[in-house]
Amino acid sequence: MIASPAPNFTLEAVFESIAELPVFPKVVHKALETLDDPNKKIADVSAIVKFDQGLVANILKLTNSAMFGLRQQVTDLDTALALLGNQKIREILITGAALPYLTKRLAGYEMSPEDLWIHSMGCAVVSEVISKRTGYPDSGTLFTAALLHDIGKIVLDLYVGPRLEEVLVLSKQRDGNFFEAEWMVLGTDHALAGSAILKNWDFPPDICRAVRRHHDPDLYIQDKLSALLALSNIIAVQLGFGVGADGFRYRIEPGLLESAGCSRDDYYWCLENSLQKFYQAEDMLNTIMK
Amino acid sequence: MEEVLVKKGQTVVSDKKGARLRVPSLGSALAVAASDPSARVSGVAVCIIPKKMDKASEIPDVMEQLRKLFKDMITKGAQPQNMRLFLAGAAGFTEEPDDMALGKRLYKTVMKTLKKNGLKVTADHVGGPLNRSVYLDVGGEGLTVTMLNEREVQL
Repeated sequence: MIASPAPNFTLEAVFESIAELPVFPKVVHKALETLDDPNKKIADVSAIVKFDQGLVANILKLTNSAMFGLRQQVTDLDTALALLGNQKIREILITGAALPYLTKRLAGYEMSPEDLWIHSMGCAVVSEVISKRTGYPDSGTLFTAALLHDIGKIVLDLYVGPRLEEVLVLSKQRDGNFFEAEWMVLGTDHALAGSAILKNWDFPPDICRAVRRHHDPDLYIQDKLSALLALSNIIAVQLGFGVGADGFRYRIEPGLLESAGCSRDDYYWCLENSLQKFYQAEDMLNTIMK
Repeated sequence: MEEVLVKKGQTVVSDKKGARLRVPSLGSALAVAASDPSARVSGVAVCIIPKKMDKASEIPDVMEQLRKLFKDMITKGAQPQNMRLFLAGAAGFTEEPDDMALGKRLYKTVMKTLKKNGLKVTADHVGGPLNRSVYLDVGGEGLTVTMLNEREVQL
């Protein structure tokens, strides 16, 4: 019997895996650019995405869910896009395109497909509540960063899996910090891997930066988007939205609320309202997984 | 076996023979479980809001949930002197500022309320960076706590 080759744990191998990931659908970026162009109409967006049948199916599924909130059932793309505002179209396009990536099983992080999906959407739901409460003007960017913040796990999963025990033991020795333990064992972490994936997928630099920083207490307090993303993720974990092996094994920077422009009362208000909004969106979370 | 899923912010009491109350992925929420084996009544309140911040919100706070838990237990025949109380959950991050220590605040609020009403906790499994799930068999003696990478614990 021939022994299977030992997994290649080099940093080069991790980044090769990132480069080998299927690209984020170009039609989505093109559709988003069209949305931003004042000279273009919704019909132009529809013309761009309508040939991607998988994406259209996901857009319709999301449009008909309580989260994105249309009162009537919609069965064609043109009507769906005509009834939604620009902001919702943007969120649905990104969510629809990210769906295949966010419904994977991450054995290394002990997350089922439901866990990853619920955590990603849960974090996006929390980010919307926080944006509204704090008056953050670029809620669409925060929504995208929140939805995709753990995308690095889909690549790192292959490497964490065989060494999860080692990462967990080390994390317990290092005051319970999973982020540092990931670095020590793998030479990288899922936030950095995620940022590299999003860069490869042509996402804007501020989103890549916020994803890179979302577990690093020294860095996430340095800009508002990163602070708001870190806070959204923390609340999603506290509310138990798809918590994996790393879940609570992180340090929270004491100045986070201040950097996010959030008072203690705002934080508790967001917790309460995020849970309520999550329950309202639950139909979508469940039907997507069926 | 009939399984009843109890969500965060919900309080469920049952006297249905053979039923199991299950709470998945508690996060920082605190499950307050009560059981009277002689009356075969059990219930659980999954507390997540220490004190209501938004009057329009439909999620009840600790005080409202505990009031409902004990009221429903007694309505279904439980006797206060026979009641066993268990707490599980209230996970926290490895290091967290007091302002954001939701689990600790929930635990403190629940303990204060129970003490004020002369109620004692039989056993608990709370705190730390552990995301717990729990289940409770109606009329059973205790609460079962499960966690990733840790042994199942019977309270």
